[in-house]
Amino acid sequence: MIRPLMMAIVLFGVGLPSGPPPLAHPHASITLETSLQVDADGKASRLHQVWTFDALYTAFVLEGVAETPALAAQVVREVAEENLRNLGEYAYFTEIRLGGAQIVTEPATDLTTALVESPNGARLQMAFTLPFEKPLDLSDAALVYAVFDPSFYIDMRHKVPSDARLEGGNGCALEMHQSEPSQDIANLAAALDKEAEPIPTLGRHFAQFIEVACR
Amino acid sequence: MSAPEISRPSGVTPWLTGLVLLATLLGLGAILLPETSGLIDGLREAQLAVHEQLTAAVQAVQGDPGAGLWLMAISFAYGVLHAAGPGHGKVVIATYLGAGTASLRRGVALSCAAALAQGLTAIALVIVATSMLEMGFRDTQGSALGFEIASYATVTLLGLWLTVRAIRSLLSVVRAGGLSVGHPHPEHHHHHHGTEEACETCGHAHGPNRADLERDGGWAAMAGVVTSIGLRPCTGAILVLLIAEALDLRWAGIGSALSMAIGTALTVSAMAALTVHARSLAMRLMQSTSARRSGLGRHLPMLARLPMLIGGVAIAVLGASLTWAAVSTPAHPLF
Repeated sequence: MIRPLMMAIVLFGVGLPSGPPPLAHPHASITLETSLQVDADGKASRLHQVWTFDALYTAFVLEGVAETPALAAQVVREVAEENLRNLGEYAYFTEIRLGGAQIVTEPATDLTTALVESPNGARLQMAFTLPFEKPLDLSDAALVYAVFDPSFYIDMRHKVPSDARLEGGNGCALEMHQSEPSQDIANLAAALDKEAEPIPTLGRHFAQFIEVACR
Repeated sequence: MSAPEISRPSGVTPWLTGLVLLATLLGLGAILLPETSGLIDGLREAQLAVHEQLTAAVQAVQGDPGAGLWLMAISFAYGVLHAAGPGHGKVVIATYLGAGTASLRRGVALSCAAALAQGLTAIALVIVATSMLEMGFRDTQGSALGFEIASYATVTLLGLWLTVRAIRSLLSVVRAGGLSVGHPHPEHHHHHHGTEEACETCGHAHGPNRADLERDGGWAAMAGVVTSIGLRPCTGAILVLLIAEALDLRWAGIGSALSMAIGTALTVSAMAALTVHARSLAMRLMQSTSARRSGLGRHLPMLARLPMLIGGVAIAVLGASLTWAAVSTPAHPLF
């Protein structure tokens, strides 16, 4: 009877001082892989995305089910579906412009989920496709897209520029522009704690903008 | 007719009022401070580690039913420790007991009932959600949030109701001239054999008389306290119950949830006992001194009703702020 008690006390004791709590925005991170599908006629038809959540986010999702693979897979699927459902209202955190005009996409399709191993523990991965309402002609104007959390609660970025790709589209070129937030903006983000009122324009200052131009 | 020393209104009330106020502020601080200090992240991670131990224990039962004992033990420890942290239930109980006149036995019974209600809510919620509504793992966990908000709203209503009762009672005393008459026994100390008999067994010099009970809001208030706390299911219990359901071990889950409730009841009862003793001690200390010397005695009928007024307001404020926090949490699509 003493053992569980002691163990629980130790767990509480060890858990409390485990590193300073993260105060500043962002509070989670998602690693992105994106690919723009350009069809044979030179028109862009959809944007495929793979989101890999950080290990801590995943640990909270897997709370209690991590050791039961079948249950873990089921929970990951439920969470990904829920996320995608919620993200619909936020245009899937995806901004797409063609020659400056904002493009609206269809609802996300083809959701797949996985748990990928990392040195820090498992990471939840969800992949989906955003079909465009109608194929976009890239011959006249460049297409620019960015995937970011407007509030910067979550930091979302491609780890390396090559994680943003073109599928097809011979003669098209893809270039990633990394935003350089001003010192003021960086300080502002650092001053925002978890409970802070969200600033819906903050994330833009940290976003990666990917430009696709075809000649 | 000798009223019990402890429950007799006396010059202690202004002091007591301060005590209750202080305790309430401390309790409120304990709840609200972590939200702003970021400590909540550390607590969350500690909880994650403990939850992992709990679920591992449930899974152990699948291979070896004998591991059920270990599950009960670790669940009990979880209940004891989890209840030792900040929580709205303890603030409500401490404020209610500190402001009122309830006996030790009544305070402990209240604590046990509230803890048990939390466990039963979790059991009912998980069984109904998974078996009858066939909800998924996450949706079931999410539905607990609704109960949480309902719980906070009930706390607010309870506080408002206690406040209104206290004001009414105060007004009736003022109207009856309680301010100037200075009669030390404003309550109707009729003998009510029901309550007197119940108190023979409670190991306390005297239990609450009818007037005390009514000033506390009586059984209705006790039911309100239990309901407002019990509506919020224990998150650890929900987790264990869900895992147990998934592994076809429903009874292990129910046993674990009940063990947690017993552990929680132990901790909360200890806190309730502390509150009642602190109140009694303060009363005894003040009984013979300040009241007579300061001439406060004539105001006693009014002063005796002040703690419940302050306690009621404090509970209402707590409930309202918790409800507001739960409802207005900035929603993030991925959290």
